[in-house]
Amino acid sequence: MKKNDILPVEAYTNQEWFDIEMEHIFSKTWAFAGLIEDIKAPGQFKSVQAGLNNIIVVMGRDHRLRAFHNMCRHKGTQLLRAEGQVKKAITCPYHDWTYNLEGELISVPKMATEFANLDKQCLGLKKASVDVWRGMIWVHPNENAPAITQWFGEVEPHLGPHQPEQLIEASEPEIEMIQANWKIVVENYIDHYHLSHLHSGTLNMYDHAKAEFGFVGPHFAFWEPLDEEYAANLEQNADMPLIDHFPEGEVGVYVPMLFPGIGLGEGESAWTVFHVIPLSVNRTKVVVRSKVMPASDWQFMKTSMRSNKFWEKRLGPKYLTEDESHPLGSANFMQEDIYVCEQQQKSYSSPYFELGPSAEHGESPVRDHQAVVMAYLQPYCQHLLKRG
Amino acid sequence: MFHLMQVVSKQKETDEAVTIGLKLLQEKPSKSSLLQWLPGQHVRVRLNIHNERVQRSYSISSAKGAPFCITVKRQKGGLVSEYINKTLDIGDTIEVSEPAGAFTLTPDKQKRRSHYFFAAGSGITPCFSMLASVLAEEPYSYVYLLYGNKHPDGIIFNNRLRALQEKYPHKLVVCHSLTSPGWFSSSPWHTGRIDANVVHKFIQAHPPSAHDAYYYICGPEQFIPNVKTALNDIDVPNNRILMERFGATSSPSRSNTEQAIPTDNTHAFKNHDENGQEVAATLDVDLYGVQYQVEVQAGETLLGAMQRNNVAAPFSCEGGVCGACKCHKNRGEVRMHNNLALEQEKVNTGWVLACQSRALTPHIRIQYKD
Repeated sequence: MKKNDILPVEAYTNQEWFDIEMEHIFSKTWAFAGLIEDIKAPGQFKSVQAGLNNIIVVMGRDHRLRAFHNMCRHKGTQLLRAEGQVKKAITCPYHDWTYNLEGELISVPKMATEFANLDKQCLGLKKASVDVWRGMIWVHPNENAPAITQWFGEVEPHLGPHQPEQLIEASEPEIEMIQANWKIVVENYIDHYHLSHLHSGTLNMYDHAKAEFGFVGPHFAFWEPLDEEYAANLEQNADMPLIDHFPEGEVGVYVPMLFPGIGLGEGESAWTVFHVIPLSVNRTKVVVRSKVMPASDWQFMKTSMRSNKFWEKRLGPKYLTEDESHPLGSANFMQEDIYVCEQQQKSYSSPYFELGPSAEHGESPVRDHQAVVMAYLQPYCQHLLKRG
Repeated sequence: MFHLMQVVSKQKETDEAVTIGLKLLQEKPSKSSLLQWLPGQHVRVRLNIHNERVQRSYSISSAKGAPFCITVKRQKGGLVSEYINKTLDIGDTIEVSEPAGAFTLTPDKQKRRSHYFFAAGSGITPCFSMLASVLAEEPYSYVYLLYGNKHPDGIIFNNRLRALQEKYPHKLVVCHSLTSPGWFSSSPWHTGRIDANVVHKFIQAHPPSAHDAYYYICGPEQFIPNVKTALNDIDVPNNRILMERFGATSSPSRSNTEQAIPTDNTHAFKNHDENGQEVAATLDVDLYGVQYQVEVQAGETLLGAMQRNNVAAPFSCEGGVCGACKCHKNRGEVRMHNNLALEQEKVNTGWVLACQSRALTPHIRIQYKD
């Protein structure tokens, strides 16, 4: 009988495991840095935490994005805060050291008297990599990172035909704080076995039995068709305007999980990024950003009202006995998932906890994800494995 | 080293330009580095015209993997370009040098880049080789071309560019700028010269899809500094810009019958000492530790004098653009006619471009170092 035991339980509960993951996974891979809408015009910038690195992305007047490590070369002070606008230069708030948009140090106050023979050329901002792929901004701490299309090249053909650039973000990002290790959150996302059980009342518009899924390199690809009854009258039943740029016959939902922890939900009427951000060994932030067809409020209202009857019959909570405030009474699949993730995390700390069997097919993605994580950590976790 | 090559095809591109396909005439063609050229490089072509041996440089215009071609535009009063367009025929042989030049693009299929080309007139020839190669061999990259001409009939590679656009509709943007679009043709993307505003408008209309972006400028005289300054104005750093004067440069021994070395001195990168007479001089050369002494004629470039005396000093564009011939001057004064390659700081510390430097004092000493 298989178990989800490629990683030890300690990898989900022990801070030292978390630390090596931060250093050797999240600080060495392409990281999601936002949507293209976040930096639309020259001078706009954004800083993102990617593992141990804080990286600034700024657009020049040539519309090219540049990325730098957000540290002044003097004392390491962060130069720019989360989001904003610069003109032609980036100035450190501490001592006003100033860098141009190429990251070159261009001015140091009192240079002649305080820093004799200072070679400014050696003190440019450390460069990082940035690119835009599928409407998303990505950063990599290494200036000479492999191309983003190399990193995602193998999985790309398994992603949806969606063109996120043509969709709009109609609502504020949803932020969830989850009391669980990031891998529990990811492994719940890619676990096929739970879909028709935990989410029997919330994700039943998809035909889970016909799902096709598996790992392609470090990334997970997943596709399933719409439920027959839903699909038969999709135009009437969809609760939001349908995305209009699919090739004939390709309607279905694509739910990949890009490594490490960037889930996409590419459906018939919405395109969603589910960004898993580890905060500590047992705390994870998830930021969910959704894009939909550019349509008027009136159109959204119309589709919602038109489809109301269909969904009323279909959707419901896991347990009718629970009221709406309980995750299992909420009829919200995200709340259902968070509930089970937090339960699992608690049990992992119990001295009586013992790994149960792992579903051969439905939980194979969980084991495969563990193997991907293990491959990254192998050279750095031997001392932790020995300790048992 | 020159190789004997035979003309195997001759295709008219416009009324004024022709593409010549060439094949090596030697036993083991694979041994020759002629087959190892990089997109953007040029060769020197040597032929006999009216019993006179003449030599010119022309850009290789074919894509990597395609048969070796050069494209030659007829210049007013240009002996060689006129001959190639009118007289040279299939079956004829000419001598062709090793490929050279630092205005190159090496396709890398792992990379994802945006390549911006700014070409005017026959400046398209190296650019076409570069962009056709990159489209074929860099599957994740994007190409943007802003191409200036006078008249629609004079657009070299117009049809080939259209064919590439059909083949790569999501990866290739071509925008034409014409000063005289003509009454009956459809209107170009822009009417007029390519100036700073046009460059800015082009980039705004076509921002980079991949954010590792490079910029290639190839055209005559003022075109290069104009486009370069326009790019610098919108934060493009110099280390992402490559430049080349259009097509060929004339051989130093037969100076400027083919294409005038820019003589107007309005642009910002000039390093002219306006006073001072160009004089004959004795030139001492330290070429990576090997010493030479050659005589420079009044008005002759240091590179020209070295080439005349078979000193194999490095060079590439001979237009003061690429910087391949830069060396350090330890003695004497020179005047550079055109310098787009060296920053003022470098010039102040004694660096010069041999292809542009004329002697102003009777003793000059230069040094090439790594």
